[in-house]
Amino acid sequence: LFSYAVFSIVKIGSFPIKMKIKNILILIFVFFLYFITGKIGLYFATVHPSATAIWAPTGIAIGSLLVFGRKALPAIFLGAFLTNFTTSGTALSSIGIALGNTFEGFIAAHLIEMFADGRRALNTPRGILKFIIIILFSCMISATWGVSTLLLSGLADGDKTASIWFTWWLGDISGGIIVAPFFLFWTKKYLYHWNNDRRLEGVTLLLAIVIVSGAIFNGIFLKLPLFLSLEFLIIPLLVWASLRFDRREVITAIVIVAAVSTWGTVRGYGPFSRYKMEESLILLQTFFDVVTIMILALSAVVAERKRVQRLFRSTLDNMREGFQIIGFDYKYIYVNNAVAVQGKKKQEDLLGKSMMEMYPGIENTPMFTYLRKCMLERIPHEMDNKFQYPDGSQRWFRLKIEPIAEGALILSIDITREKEIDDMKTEFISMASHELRTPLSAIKGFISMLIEGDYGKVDKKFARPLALVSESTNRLIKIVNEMLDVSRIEAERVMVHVDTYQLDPLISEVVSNLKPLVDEKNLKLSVEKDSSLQISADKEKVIQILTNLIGNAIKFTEKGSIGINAKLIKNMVVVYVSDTGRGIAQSDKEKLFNKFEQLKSKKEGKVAGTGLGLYISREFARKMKGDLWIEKSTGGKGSTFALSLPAVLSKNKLL
Amino acid sequence: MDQPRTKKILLIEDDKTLAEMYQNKLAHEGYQVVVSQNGGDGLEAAIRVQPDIILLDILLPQMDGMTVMKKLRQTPWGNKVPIIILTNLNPDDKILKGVVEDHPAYYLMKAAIDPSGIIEKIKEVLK
Repeated sequence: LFSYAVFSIVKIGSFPIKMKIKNILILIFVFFLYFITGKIGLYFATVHPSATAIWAPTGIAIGSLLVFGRKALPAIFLGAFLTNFTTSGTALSSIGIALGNTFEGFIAAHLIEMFADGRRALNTPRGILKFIIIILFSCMISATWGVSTLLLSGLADGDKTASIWFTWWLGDISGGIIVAPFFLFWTKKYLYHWNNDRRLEGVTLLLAIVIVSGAIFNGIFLKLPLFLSLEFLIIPLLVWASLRFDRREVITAIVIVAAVSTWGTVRGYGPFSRYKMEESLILLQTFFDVVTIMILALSAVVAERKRVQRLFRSTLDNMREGFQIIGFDYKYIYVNNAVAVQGKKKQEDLLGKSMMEMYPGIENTPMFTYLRKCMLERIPHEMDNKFQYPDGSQRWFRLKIEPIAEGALILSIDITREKEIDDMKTEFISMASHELRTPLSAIKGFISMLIEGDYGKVDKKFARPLALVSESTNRLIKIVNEMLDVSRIEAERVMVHVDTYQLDPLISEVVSNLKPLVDEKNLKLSVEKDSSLQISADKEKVIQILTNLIGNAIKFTEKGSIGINAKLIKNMVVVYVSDTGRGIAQSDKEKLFNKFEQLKSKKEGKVAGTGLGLYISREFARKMKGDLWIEKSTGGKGSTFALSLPAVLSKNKLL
Repeated sequence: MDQPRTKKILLIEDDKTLAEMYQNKLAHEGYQVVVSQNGGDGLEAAIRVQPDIILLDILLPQMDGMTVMKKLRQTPWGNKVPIIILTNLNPDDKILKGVVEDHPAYYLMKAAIDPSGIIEKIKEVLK
C-alpha cells in the first residue's frame, strides 16, 4: 500500500512540469465531477457510510481515463480521497479507499484499451461484451480493496463484510455500465445535424420518458397502484431512442430514467421499493444494468449499420464509376452520384423510377437487350455502349452488367475521351497508310519496269539487288495494307460483299500464287479438292485469309508438307490448313490472335511479318459469319488451322 | 505495236511521279497517252480527245474520279467508253454504289498491281 502511495506521489510529482492550462482544467473538471457524484452516492449509503449502491464515480474514473489518458489519475485519487474523508473515516482509511478506487479505474481503462479497442469499445456488440466483463472484474478490485481497508482500520463489522462487499461491487458496476458510456458518448465528436422534425421527435421522446418513468417510479403525473410492476414499460421508450437517435441521446435517456427511478426508489416508491433501502437500490441497479446492456448493444448495432451505410454511400458517391442497381421491374433501386452525373439526371429523380420512364426508347437499345438477358437468364455481360441522351448528344460508356439478387447491377465508366483518342489514332493510321501507298506504288511500278527491261536491258549484276528491292517493297506494301485493315477493323469500317462462290477455284488461286515459295523451300503441298463445296463470302477476303493461313504454313515449315482440305460440317464449310512445322505451344494459342503478337516475340524468333495477319484473318472470318481457330497444334509437330465460312447448299445453287 | 491503229489512252492521275511512270509504261507499250492532273481537266480532255480507254484515279483535285465517271456516263459518247479505276483507296459504300451504277471495267489497287499487270487488263478490255 505504502509503496504504491509513494509511487503515485512520485508520478504525480513529475506532472506539473509538463502540465498546460488545458490539462489543469481537465483535472479540475474530473475532480469536481468525481467529488460531487461521490458525495451524492455516499448520501445514499446505508449498509455502511463508505459503501453505497449508487456509485457514479467509477464511471467517471473509467471514462476520464479512457478519454484523457493517465494524466487524469491524480484528479481521481484526490476526488476519491476527499469524498471519503469529508464523509466518514480517517485520513488513512480514506487514502486506502481512494487508492483502491483509482486502481480500479486504472485497471479497467487499461484492460479496455488492451482488449476492447479503448474509447471505441462501445461501437460493437462484441466490444460491449468485453467492456462489461472488464467492468465486472475490475469493480471487484475496488470492493475488495475498500472492504479490506475498512476491516483493517476497524471501521466495519466483520459479520457485515459480505453485504458491504456486494453493495460496493454492485454500486461500482452500475457506475461503470451507465456512467462510463455516458461520459464516453458526451466527449465524442457528434456527427448528426438536428432538423425540426428531429427536434420535435427528441422533445416528444424526452417528455414520454420523463412522464412514464415519473409515473412508474415516482407516482407523479399519474398515481399507479403499488402492486403494479410496470417498470418494463420503460424498455420500448429506450428502444425507440436507440433506433431513432444517436447513442449520446440513448445513454442520456437511460441516465434520466435511472436518476428519476433512483429518486423514487429512495423515497420508497415504485416497483423496486422494498423494506430495506439497500435491497431496493440493488434491485433497481440490477434492472438498469441489464436494460442498459441490452439497449447499448442494440444501439451499437444500429450505429454500426448507420456507419456502414454512410461509408458505403460516401464510397459509392465518390467513385468515378457509375454504380446502379436495377430491379426486375427495371426500376432504379440504387444509383450513385456518378450514375446521376453520367445520365444527366438527379439521384433522387432516378430512384424508384423505371429506366423507360427516365430514358424513353432505352428498351430498344442493344444495352437493354443484354440487361434483359441478365435479368432473365442471369448472364453477366461487358460492353462498350454508346448512350444517346434525350437531347441528341451521346457519350460512350464501358458497362459491366451483373446479375444480383435484387435484379441487375450495372457498373459504368465514361470512356468517351478514350474512344475519341482511339478514333483519332485509327483515323491517323488510315490516312498515313493511304499516303504511304502512293509513293510505294511508284517504287513498286518503277522497279518492275526496270526488271522487265522497259528502260533497256539491265546488267546482270543488278538483277539480284533489284529483285530484293522489289521483294522488300512488296513486304512494305503488305505491312501498310495490314495496318490499314486493322484500323478499319477497329473503326468498324470493314465491309464484306458477300456472294456465292465455289471454294476450289479460290484455293487454287491462292496456291498458285504461293507456289514459288513452296518450291523454294522444297515442301510438298497437297490439296484435296471437293467441287461440291460452295461458300457465301467475300471473295477478296477469303483469298486474303487463305493467303495468310497457307503463307504462314509455308513460313513456319522448314521441311515436310502442307495439306489443304475442306469439308461440310452442319451448315458451315470448314477449310483445314495443316503443316509439319514447328507448331504452337499451348500457352501461345490464344495469344496468337492478338494484334502484333508476332512483333512481341520477334526477339526470339526470326520470321518476318507484322503479326497482324491472324488477327485480321479472324476478324474478317467473323465478319463473314465464319470463324478462324487452331484445330490442333503440338509444339514441334506442326499445326492445323481451321477456317469456317457459311456454306451454300447445292439445292440453292440456282439462287 | 501490232495494233492497226494506235490506241489513245487518257490517264487522269494527280501524282506526278505515278503519272510519269504509267505514261512511260503505256508509251513503251505503244499507246498514245494524254495525261490530266485533275478531275475537271480530265473530264474536259475525255470529251475533247475521246480516248479508247480511260485510266481514272479517285482522289483528285477539283473533281473526284467517281464524279468524273458519273458525268461521263451521262454523255452519249462517255456512256460506252471503258474506264479502269486505278486508285489506292479501299472502296467504301459510296464508291461501291458508283461502281455498280457506272460499271467501270476494272477497279485496280495501284499498290497491288505492277504496270505490266495494268497493260494486261488494258489489252483485255480493248480486245
